[in-house]
Amino acid sequence: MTQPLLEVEDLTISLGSGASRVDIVDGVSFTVGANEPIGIVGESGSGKSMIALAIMGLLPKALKITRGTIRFEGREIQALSKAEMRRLRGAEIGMIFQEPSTALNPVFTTGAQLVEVLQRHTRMSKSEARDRTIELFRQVGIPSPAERFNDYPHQMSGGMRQRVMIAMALACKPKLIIADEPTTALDATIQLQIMNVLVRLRAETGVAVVFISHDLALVASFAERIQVMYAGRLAETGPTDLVFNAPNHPYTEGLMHCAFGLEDDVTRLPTIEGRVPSPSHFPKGCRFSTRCSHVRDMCHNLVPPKIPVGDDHLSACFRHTHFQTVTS
Amino acid sequence: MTAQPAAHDILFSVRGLSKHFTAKRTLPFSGPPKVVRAVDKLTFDIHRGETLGLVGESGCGKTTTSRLLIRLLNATSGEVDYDGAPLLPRQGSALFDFRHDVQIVFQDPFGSLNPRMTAEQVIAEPLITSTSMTAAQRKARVAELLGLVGLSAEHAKRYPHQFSGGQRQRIGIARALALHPKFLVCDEPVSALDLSIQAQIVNLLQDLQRDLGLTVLFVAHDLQVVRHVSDRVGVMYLGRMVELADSETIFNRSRHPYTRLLLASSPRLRKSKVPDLAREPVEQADIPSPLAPPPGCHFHTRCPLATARCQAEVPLWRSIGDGHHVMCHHAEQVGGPVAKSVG
Repeated sequence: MTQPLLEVEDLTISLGSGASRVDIVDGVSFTVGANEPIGIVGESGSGKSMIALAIMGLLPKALKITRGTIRFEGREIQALSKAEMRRLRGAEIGMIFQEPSTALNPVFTTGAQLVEVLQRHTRMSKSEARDRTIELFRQVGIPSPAERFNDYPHQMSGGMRQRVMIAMALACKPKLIIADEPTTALDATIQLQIMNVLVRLRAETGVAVVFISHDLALVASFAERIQVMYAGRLAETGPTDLVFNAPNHPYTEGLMHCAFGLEDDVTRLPTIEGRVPSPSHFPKGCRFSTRCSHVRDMCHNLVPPKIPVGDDHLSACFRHTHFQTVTS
Repeated sequence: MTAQPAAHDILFSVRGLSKHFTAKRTLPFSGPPKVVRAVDKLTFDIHRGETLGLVGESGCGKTTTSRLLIRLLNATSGEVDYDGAPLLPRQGSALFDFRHDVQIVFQDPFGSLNPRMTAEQVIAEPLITSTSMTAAQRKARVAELLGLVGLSAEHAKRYPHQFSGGQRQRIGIARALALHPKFLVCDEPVSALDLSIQAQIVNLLQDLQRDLGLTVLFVAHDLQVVRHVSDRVGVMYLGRMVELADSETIFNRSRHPYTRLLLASSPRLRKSKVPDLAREPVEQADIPSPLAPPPGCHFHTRCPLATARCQAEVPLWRSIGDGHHVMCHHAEQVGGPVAKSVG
């Protein structure tokens, strides 16, 4: 088996230390193969954006990686120097954020910002970088790219700005793109346009993508494999089809009921009772135990391991196991 | 399909309602200020006891419309009859009485509650300003309202930051119901909430509407939520209402190209098959700026059916039977069932 592009192993991100330490991401492991589109879904506070920031080496200062490793092409990211990390970001890993209006510098033209990226990471001359920028603008579907090169971010619509962000992420032909809620700030019809751009560019360039979103249908439309997060832990991972159509984890099952309920003609929507616990109140065992309808005694004390439930399909739940009780 | 409702079944009758805003000049001496027609000659009714959904993308005027109906904004022109009497000329005590009848639930459960007031104070405030209840009566009413929205008495003394988003939205709903309103505007009431919490709030709103006999204007951009809660749905684009019909018709037999684009753009989960966005035709055009909407039919720049007539002539808001209204020259050519899913 070839080496995966990105390996995240037992990643744990913590806030604070000692007795007040809270693991806001706890023991998350997954891999991304070259050319592979994978998805991470989860509700707000599930830790999905923190994983993205950790991969990019951009975690806020208050947060520390306390366990686990992130390897990109076999190189451990935490061991890299700041300068090496800067080279990796942009050149080999591109990123697309949710809010294109804050991710672009308002006082430079969008074209100049792409030229800067290209000149920083490649040996292009200014005019080569300019030509490449216009080519990139064309690739992401910006109409009359040569004229738009001189536009400032405020002269563009949200959809156009997000296209610029995608062009920037792609500028240095990265092997991996991390897209964190790339269409959440956009209107529905524009969201569709941007998703089409992403799907087309992925097919053309073969770049691997980690697509992070709260929108189940959107992730399903894009990713071949999917990770479902709940309260900082992976609840379930597997091929998108399996996870969506035959969910194993009670949380995934509940989410699917909520989503399908909206689409089907039911008079009353299925719900998941209760609410996501706040990080300072995470329960001791399974973090879903406070809302789970299949909860057993052991769920309150033991963290469920990832249990294979099918082909490449793992679920962190004791539900279908024969484990009964544990004395502690 | 039922016949047209009798006059007494109509709570709001809206005729040619418009609201224009004057945009700030970005530079001095840059010419006359531009006018945004945020709401442009809307004509529709809201039936007693129904939920009317209002959908559209940002800037289409759906929120402005809801604010006009409850007189949080004053209309530029047009007429609105509320309960059979003209609404827009109302002043003073007549306006005050109207305000008892209409309430609003806001999108943002964080910004719409005063952080220095406890849940109890938030919910009791309309009772203090608008009724002559004694403190004991108010306390009883607050407890009743908390129960109605699924909170308990122990929550009364807590401050907004001690609640989750879903619970805060419940407090906003309790406040809106305090004065026994007849008409409730829900402006994106679940957009800020996670999926699993969304369903709880949608169920609560539906229960309350049924039990209290409320008429609801449900403004949202999420088509699936609107489809679930609404009896009828209006679709807006750049200040105009482009289609209005019962929910089933809008979602299955829409006659407006924009409605169809909107429906096709909304990603769906299907039990049988995962939708594939790559197979959708790419539609490149941007939403035009509300400051300079295209002449004629506003949608003609993005419409696959657009002809020269669409560029020149604003389509009439016309009925095509069964309470189905549409603003399109070519509605008769838009037919057949809407493609069920993306892909």
